[in-house]
Amino acid sequence: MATVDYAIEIKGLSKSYKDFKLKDVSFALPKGTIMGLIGPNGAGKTTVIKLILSLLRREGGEIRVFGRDNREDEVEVKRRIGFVHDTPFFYDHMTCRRLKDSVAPFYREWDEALFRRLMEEFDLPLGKRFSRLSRGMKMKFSLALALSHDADLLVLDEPTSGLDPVFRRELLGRLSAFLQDAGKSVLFSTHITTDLERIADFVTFIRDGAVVFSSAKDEILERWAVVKGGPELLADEHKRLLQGVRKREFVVQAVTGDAAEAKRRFGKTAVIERASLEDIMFYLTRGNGHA
Amino acid sequence: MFKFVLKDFFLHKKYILSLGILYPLYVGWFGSRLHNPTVYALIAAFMYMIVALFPYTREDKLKAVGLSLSLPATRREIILGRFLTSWTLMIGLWILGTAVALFIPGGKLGASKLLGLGTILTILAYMTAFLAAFMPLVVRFGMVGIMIFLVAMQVLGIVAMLLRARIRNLKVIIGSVGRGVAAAQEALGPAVAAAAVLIVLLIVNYASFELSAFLFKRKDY
Amino acid sequence: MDAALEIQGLRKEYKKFILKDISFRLDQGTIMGLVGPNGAGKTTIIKLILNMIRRSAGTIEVFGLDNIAHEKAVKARIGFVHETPAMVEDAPLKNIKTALAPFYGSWDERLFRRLSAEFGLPLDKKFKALSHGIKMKFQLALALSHDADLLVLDEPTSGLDPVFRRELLERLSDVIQDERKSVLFSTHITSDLESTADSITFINRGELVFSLPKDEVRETWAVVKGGPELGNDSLRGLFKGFRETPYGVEALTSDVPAVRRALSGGLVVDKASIEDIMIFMDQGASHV
Repeated sequence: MATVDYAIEIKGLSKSYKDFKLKDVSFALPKGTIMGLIGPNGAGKTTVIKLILSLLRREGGEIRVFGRDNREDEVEVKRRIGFVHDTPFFYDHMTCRRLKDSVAPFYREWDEALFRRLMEEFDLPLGKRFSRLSRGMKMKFSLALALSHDADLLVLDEPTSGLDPVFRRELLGRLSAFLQDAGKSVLFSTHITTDLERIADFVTFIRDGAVVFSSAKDEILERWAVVKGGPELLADEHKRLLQGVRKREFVVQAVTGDAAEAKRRFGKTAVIERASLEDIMFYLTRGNGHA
Repeated sequence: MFKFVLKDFFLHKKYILSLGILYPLYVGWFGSRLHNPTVYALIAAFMYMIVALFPYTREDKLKAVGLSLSLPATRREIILGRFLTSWTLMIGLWILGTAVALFIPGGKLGASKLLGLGTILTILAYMTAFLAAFMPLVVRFGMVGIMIFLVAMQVLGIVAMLLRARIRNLKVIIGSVGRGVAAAQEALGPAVAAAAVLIVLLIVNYASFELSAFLFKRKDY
Repeated sequence: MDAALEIQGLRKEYKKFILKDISFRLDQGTIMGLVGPNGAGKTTIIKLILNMIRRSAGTIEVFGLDNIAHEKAVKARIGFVHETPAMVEDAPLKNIKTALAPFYGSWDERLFRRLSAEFGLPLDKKFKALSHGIKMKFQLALALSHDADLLVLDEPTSGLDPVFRRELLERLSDVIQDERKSVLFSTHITSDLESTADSITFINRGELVFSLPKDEVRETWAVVKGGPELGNDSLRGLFKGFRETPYGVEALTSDVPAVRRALSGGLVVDKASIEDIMIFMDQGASHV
């Protein structure tokens, strides 16, 4: 019997803060795939990532990375993870070389030759002070570090924030290349959903500390649609089908997770379009009557 | 133009209020222990000038100057606003500090000395001297400029102490302002002296303003 | 139609970078997107408009007035929103508002209060305690409350989640329903432009690549897909950038008819998105 190997398995994860609660978060990232984590600011994406990296202590539920509990086998788990953060917390005044020297010894599989090759490819001088690097270059440096110890799982938290499309395409290209190696997986949270649409296999949408859905991207884009029509869409009978209803001017807009059914009901009276990830996120966050 | 003072006050309210209480207390207490009104004037002026320039060194550190630059005001007006705010603060602080000095028991400088024309003019003169010197520095070099200046002064002071013979000269230079005011009073009688001194101070302020405005205009942010 | 903003021959010289020959025009009542890779010069242009840096040559006219000669009048009508605003970080929002409002003759306090409520601005909180999105909204509220006729936004959507971004863009669209108002905004997130902008100005390495109505961009620029013959010398001038893919060669052109004349069949021609243009044109450049 074939069982799917998971890079990350999260079940019933919970964590409470003063004004925020992460509740019952569950999703899984199969090995060899890329998952995008989306959600409004403050939804809990960074919290989830920090919990996976055991930078925070979880209160309930379990997190398994490559089958191991991430707290009990913390060191072993972290060895296999490469982490790229959007505001890297490195000592600004240190040079790239020094930073690398302080990080590399922690990893058994550190590949110096690979690191140097990446630095060259990224056009990053080893002797430069970290603080003097542009935003994009900082991200590339973090990526070089993450890729140089043969990590099996790359976790990126908002890696493309503030970067122009050129950089972003490059990063996506890198991630695709990374995945050519079977067994490597990527989890990345981002606001730029068009990047995800281009590259992700799975998408998990987190809002208000809970998972709204976690499914295959292709499936999501097939099943969800934006419906725009007149006030008849507001009728009670449609409340379960249409989510995130918004009224603007005289047009009623909503999103639905069952495009086929929507076409049956409103095909003739409303405009039904493919929903982008951004559309889904927008309506489910700002519209009314969201589940 | 008052809106400039208001702007700086509201943007830096917390700091102005807390420093605005601490510094006068300190100076007032300190002043009450002193014999020499000139030294008192010097210290008071220096301390109050620091508070007066504080909003601008802060803005430089926080890179917040852009905020003022986006407002409908010319760079010249912004600098004029700075001078206005600085003087408003310094005078306000001086009033508070004097009140503290007067009401603390055991003060050595009595009301006559603290509120005497000579003292008032001396304080104004020192305030002018410091503000006129520091404002262009702050505009041109920001916080760094002040640091460099203070460090340079420290170094000079140390050098002076090592060359003991020079100490008297230093005292002479610093005291010259006070003596100058006293001399004017003697020579011209209080009213005319006051007028003369004030005119000179106005000219010095104006010169500093023009220099600061010039430097500010040329700076790219 | 009157111009909200008209720039001619703008030039700024730095030691390692020169912005030159920038000319474009923002018509009143429209939204213009300013795009280009990092380091292209977008922020420099915006700073020049606000006279935060001095120009080396050229003219900038806002509502027909030179932006330096009539600095006050011009700035009274501009509202500025910046990604990393120059702010005194630990002042509470209401203090910032009190500090700035008196400078504007057209300040509308009631409008400010209404917008604050709509945007959910916590007026008692310090600026630095706000989330990025709220910081943007606060700046926008300030700009709208003094009836700014020209809104200049520097990367306003960078770092915002898609929800906030869309809200912001919707708000901008609402703003220009009033035809006196115009918007100039620079951004990396080109998908934002595709839905909102009327015209696009593309800057690359300190120079103007084009400034066109959005529809014209779509019609003029295209990605041609074919084989290695696209790289032939005879076609050199037609293409602005190349990419090799596992399936062949892709090339960017702004002159589709000429390409069709030069090459016979077997061509796939796709409309180029703004992102495509940016990526193709950046080939081989050492980006910042």
